[in-house]
Amino acid sequence: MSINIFLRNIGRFIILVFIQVFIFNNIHLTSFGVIPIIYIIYIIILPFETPKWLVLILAFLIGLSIDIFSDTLGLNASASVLIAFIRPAILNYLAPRDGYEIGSFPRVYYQGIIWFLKYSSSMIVIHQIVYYLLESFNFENIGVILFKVIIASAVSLILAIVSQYIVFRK
Amino acid sequence: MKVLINVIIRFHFVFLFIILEIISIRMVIFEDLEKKNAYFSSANAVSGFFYKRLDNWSAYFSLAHENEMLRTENLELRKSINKNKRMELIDIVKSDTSKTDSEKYTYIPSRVINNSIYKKQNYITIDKGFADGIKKDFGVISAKGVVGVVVAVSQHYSLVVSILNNRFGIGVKVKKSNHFGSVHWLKNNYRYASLFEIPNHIKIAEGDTIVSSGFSSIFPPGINIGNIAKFKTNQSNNFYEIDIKLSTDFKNLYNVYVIDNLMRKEQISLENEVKDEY
Repeated sequence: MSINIFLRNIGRFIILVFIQVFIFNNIHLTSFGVIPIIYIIYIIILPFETPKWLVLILAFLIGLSIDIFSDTLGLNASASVLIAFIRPAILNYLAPRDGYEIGSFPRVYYQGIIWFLKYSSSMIVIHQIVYYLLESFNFENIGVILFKVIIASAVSLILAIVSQYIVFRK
Repeated sequence: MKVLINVIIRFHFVFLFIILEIISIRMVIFEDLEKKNAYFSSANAVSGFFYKRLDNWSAYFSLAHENEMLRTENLELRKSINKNKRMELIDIVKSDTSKTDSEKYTYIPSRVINNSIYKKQNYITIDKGFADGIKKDFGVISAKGVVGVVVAVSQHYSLVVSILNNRFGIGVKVKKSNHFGSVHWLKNNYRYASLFEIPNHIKIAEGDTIVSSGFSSIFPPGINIGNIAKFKTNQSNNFYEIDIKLSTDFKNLYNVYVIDNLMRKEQISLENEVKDEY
């Protein structure tokens, strides 16, 4: 049982990295070339029981893998580590009154679309803000950064929700 | 000691977060073109392999366009051969120990397998590595002009920093007057870059050609960079603010040539000798 979950998570890790790097990195939205982020789904749907330190390390590893393939050394890693750090706080804040049901996962099927929308949108928006701020490393053209964050977050959020109905149904 | 361990165990989550975040932000800030490592870039064996595979597939769709570009390049080379022949007739007696350009530089043909133009730091991956004789600091050009410089090399792939990188600059000169300056990319537009260090008293005009200066051992002199698109005088520091339109179209870059300068060692050792003394 536990070995099964372990293998499934490794497989999901590799597949999401490949889909991100070889498909979505080639999609450039608007004239600013905004790239939709899909690998973040991996961090979003990790089970509630995953140790917090493990989430940090997994987020770091998946961010670094994306960075190595797309030559953005450190950008995706730092954004992912940050959302892994605040993930417990967001989950806590959004938790129902008697906590999450045992055996349930942070997915639409178990928690409902409204809950998932709140949860994943906050994760994605924070990730994208950190990513684009670190990339430009100044606040000069804050309007452009804001525009990129909004477009990228909106498309990534749609992808995350669509994935809930197509791939991660249960 | 026991207290310390207890504190670490208690706050392990925060400590781990701080450590990982420092590691990754360090990578962003201190990413050094000089010390770039092929293992931590898309030029490593694994990602190079997959990009190459993907490229083999997608190459089929651009064959017609590719043919057209190579044909125009051939045509221009043919024209320049004719010009050179005429030159040779004029100075047939030549007692010059400095090698002519054709002997001094060798070219390694290569293909772009991964490219980006929309980031702040853009890199290009090409499908030749040290097994093909490529080393760090070799220049890379396309048929239309300068592309970038090799910064990391693995066995079969190399990582090239393109002009479209805000941490990279290149020495250039105005073709008609030979005044030199430097080109940096600060615009975030893949068609334009900025030219600095051209003083106000020089006459320039829109459309003037900017070429590589050839002072460094990386590029031969006279390789196209772009044309002056617009300029304005800056009275406060007596230098122009110039925008140039890059001659290389990075969006459909495919065939590139890596330049090996055979006299590189001599030039660099001479320059370093002088640098140490003065």
